[in-house]
Amino acid sequence: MRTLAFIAATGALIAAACALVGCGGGGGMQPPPGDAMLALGSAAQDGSGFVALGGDATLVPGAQGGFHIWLKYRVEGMAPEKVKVHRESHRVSDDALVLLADGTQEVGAPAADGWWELPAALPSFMCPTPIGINVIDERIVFEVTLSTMDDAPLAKTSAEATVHCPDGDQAAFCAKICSG
Amino acid sequence: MRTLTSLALLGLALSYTSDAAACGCFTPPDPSVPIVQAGELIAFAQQDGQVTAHIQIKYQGSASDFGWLLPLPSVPTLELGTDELFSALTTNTQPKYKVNRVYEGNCSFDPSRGGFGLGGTPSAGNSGGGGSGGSGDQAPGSPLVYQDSVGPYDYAVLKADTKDPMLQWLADNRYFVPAGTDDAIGPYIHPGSYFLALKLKKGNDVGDLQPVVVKYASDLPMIPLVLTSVAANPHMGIQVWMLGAGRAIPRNYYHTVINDAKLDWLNGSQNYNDVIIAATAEAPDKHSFVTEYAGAVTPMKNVLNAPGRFGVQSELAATQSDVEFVGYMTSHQFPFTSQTIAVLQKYIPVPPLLQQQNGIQPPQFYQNLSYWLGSYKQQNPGQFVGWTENFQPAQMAQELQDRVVTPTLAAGAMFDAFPYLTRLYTTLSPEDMNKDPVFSFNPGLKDWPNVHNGELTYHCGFFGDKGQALTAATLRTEAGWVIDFPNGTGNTTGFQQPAGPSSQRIEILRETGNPDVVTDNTSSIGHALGEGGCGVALGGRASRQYVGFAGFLVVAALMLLGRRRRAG
Repeated sequence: MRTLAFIAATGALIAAACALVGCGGGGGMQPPPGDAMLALGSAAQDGSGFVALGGDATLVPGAQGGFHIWLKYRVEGMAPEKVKVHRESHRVSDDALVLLADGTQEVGAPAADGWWELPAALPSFMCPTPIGINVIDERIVFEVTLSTMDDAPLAKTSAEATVHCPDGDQAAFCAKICSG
Repeated sequence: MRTLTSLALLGLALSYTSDAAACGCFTPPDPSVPIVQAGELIAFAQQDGQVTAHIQIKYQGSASDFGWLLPLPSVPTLELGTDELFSALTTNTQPKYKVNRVYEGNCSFDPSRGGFGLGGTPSAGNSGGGGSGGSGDQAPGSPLVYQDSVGPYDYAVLKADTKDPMLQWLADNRYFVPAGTDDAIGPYIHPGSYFLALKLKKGNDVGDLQPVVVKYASDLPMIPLVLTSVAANPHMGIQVWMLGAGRAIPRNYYHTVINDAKLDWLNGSQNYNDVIIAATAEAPDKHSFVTEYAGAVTPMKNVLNAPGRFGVQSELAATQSDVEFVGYMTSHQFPFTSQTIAVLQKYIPVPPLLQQQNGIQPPQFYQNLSYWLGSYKQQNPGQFVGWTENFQPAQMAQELQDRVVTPTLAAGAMFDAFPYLTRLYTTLSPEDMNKDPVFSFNPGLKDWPNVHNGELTYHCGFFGDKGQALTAATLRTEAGWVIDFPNGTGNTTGFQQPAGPSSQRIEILRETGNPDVVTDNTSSIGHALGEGGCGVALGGRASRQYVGFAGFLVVAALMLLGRRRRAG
């Protein structure tokens, strides 16, 4: 009984935190493998702000003739340190891999609300897609995993969105290079 | 307006042959190395969401018409690169096709023998034979983010939100833009996009062109080939090196494993590039890369940044004479690349009469400076009439530091920072440059050596041979294909390429897992080789001469046995 109450309380806390940071869609925040809390979101078309990632997302044209989805994340409950960031994007329908990306990030001191936010949105590469992998109108799951530089897990989260090509001049080009 | 052949878009590739284009190839020619002149050479390193691209700019035309445009996803940083990176990468990861020769029977031409003799043990031989301060432009509506100069270049970073203001700014500021750019540039124009534009500074010539290093934020490196198509040549070679944690893959292009029976093994695989052109053309849309090397960075370790290389700048600056200066450079392994020569020529020009009358080129002049300015000058003073130099060792040492030493050491440091190197190659014609290739990694894929070994067996027989050229031989390629030369290998200059496809496999390489084979031509290659009567697939064929010799031994043994029985 006490266990159930604990789970319910934890769930409520997570939901509250999620509402606070505006994570959305397919579960922008999950109980992390470490003590830290990670919330995944997106940004406005111009890369600014922090908005929910879920529902529908429009592919953003990149300068080198490709398309991306903005990703932004927030971290709570960890001391400032340099961490490894592993990102994966998969097509939900068949788990086909769309992107694998590894990097590092210096996580800074949290703001007054206890969360540290990635200063600039990441253009998560989508198109040109791998051969045979269409992403247009497909549900895509975006996963972000943080770990220490010694590979100890810190936090992991994911969010889903159905991605679409932009309207207008870019529509045909997008359809060409995002359809695999 | 002058001819419009002058823009290099992302190093696009008009075959550039400058007098000053010292290739850095100091090793003697290797007959097992096919000669391939790639039009575009790029070395990418990818780490932490940042792409570093070393780009060799190739250009043929007048300096005033030189221009270069590169679309980028973020405001880049620009540094000078070095030609030596590309010459070293080219040399040290070059595909090589070696033929190991095996001598069966009594081959008079077997190099392991002292002379003619009996014995059938096969033996093998190897026939393989600094920039100025930058400035921004705050004019309202101007696309200029900033402009600066580095080495021989003036450059500008421009916002590419919309096309017309950017092209207008380039025209107003004398950055050359070729015809056709308007159409090709469309996919690269977006809010938040940038273009890097280069031109040669006044007083610099085409021989001063130097590779550039561009760093920008991106998950994956990409080559803007659609834009390159504006001024590309048919079957333009595109050579890519990728540094990273594991083997690199073409993410949205196919991957081809060539049919090595198509190579002219006996002539150093000189038709290598033709085989690549044919093999990649068999892939859908002709979009495919070949892996030429994948493995540890070992071949490039300490090549550019060997300990002690370049000495100490202050020591070079303290030298007292031109000969001592260049002597210091030579003893500290300065490369006599076009960058080095550009600096030397500014202060110690090659005497015009020496160049005109004797055809002495700058690399020859500087590498033997003590001779030309010593005994030769004493004996031929007429060739030095009117010649003056402006020996400024401190200034020269600083320019060499900026244009040669720092870029070379920085390029060398990449091979300390990354463990793995992949070399990819393809050829594309302008009409097929309709998709920009993107590169990624799959650390689980196996290494791919650049050295390939075939085996050529001469079937000399028991009674000797007809000489090396006329002795029947069998070539087994590395992939295991067997090609017979029943009349010998003497006429190897007229290589008859076997029928069949040029690709053995066309695959899709993904970031994880093994290759997905989409086309496997193994059986059709075997069929083609068999049908052609020149070979058999994956197995080999006993030489008729060798069978004859074996038969002779059996008959001789039976006769001997019969005699003994009768005698008994």
